[in-house]
Amino acid sequence: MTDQEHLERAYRRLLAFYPRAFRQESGPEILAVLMTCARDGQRRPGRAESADLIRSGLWLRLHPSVPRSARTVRAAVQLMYAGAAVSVVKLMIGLSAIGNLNAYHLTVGGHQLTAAQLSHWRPVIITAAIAINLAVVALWLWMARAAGQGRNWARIASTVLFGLATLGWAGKNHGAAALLFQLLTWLIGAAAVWQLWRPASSAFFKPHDLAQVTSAAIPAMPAIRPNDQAAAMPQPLVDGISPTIGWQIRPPDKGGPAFLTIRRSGLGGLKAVETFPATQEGWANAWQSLIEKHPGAAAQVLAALQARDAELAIRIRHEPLAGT
Amino acid sequence: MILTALADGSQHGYGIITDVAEISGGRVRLRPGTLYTALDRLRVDGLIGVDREEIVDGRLRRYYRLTPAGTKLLAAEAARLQADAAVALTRLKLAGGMAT
Repeated sequence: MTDQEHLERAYRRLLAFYPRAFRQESGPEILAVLMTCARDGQRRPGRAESADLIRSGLWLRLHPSVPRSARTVRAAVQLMYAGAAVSVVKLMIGLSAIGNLNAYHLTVGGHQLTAAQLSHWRPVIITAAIAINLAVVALWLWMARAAGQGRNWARIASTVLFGLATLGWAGKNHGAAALLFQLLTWLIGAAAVWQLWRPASSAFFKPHDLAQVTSAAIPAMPAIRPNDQAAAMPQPLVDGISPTIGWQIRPPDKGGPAFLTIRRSGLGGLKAVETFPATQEGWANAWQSLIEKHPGAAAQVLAALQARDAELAIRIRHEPLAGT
Repeated sequence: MILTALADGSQHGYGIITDVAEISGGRVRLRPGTLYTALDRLRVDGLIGVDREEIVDGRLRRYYRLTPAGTKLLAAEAARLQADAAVALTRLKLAGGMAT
C-alpha cells in the first residue's frame, strides 16, 4: 500500500464519526480536501486534524440539520434531547437508589413480595428497570433525530408515544420523587409535541420534492463494458457515492449481465442491492428504484454524470486521438 | 469568514481554506472537519449553495457560492462591524485629544 492509500484509509476511518447521510453527501469531497492538505509522504492523519474530524463528526451527529428558519422544529428537537437527558438523570438516580429497594415498595399482581422473593428477583428487576430506561432514552433520541430530518412519521410516532405515556401514567400511583420526574418528562413531551404540530412546523414536514428528481430525465443507458480486472464485481457508474447505480457482468448461468443499484458496505466493498435485466427497461427500473430509495443520491449521480460528460467533451475536443 | 471568502465568487473547499488563511493574514487556519461542519450549517440555513461540481483527478470537487440571503447577511454583518470600529476609533481620538 502506498503512503497515500494508507493515509486515505485512515481518513476514511475517521469519517465514520460523521452521520451517514453527511458522509454520503460530503465524504468524497472532504477526503479530497484532506488529501490536498496532506504533506508529501504523510502516512497518518495529524493529531489535531483527527481530533477536529472526530469533534465535528460528533457535533453533527448531535445537532440535526434543521434550518434556523424552522424555529419551532428546532425547539421540538431540543426539547426531545432534553427529555432524553432527564431520562438519563432519572436512570442514574434510580441506580444510586437501588440499595433502598425493599419489599415494601413492590407489589406484583396485587401481592407484596416477601424479602426472600425480592432477593431472588432482584437482579431481574434491576436489569429490567435499566433496560426500560435505556429504551426510553433511545426513543427520545431516535424521535429527535428523525423529526430533525423532517420525517413526518416521526411527528406522528412521537405524538402516539406521548399519548401512550400519558395513558400509562394515569393509572399508577408514585412516590414524590418519581412523580416529579414523570411530571417533568410529561411537560417536556407535551411541549415537544405542541412545537411539532404548530403550523410553522408543518412546512418542514412536507414530503420532500420527490417529483423534482423523478421528472428529471433518466440518464442514457450506459453501455455495459467488460472489465477484465474485476469482471464479476459490481461496477458503479459513479463511484464515491452510496447508494449508486451500475452494472455487473455475471456468469451466464447466474443470469448474465445486469443493471444494479449498489450500496457501499461498512467495510468499503460494493454490494448489489437490487438486480435488473440488462435492457432499456431494466435500466429505467433500476433508476426508478434509486430515486425511490434515495432521491439525493439519484440527484448526485445525475450531477456527477453531467460533470463527467462535460469533462469528457473537453478532453475529446483537446485530444481527438485519445482512446483510439 | 467563510462567507467573506465566498463574497467575490464561488470557491471549493480547499480554496476556502487558503482564502481564509489569506484574509486573516495567516491567523486562522481552518481544518477540513470544522470547515465542512460550518459549510453544512450554512447550507442548511440557506446562506450558501452549491454552485457546481467537478471531478478533478478522480476526486469530487464542489464549488460553493453565496445565496442572496447569504449576501444580505454578510453585508449586514460587515456594516455592523464597520459601525463598531468607527465608534471605537472616534472615541480613541477623543480620548487621545483630551490627553494632549
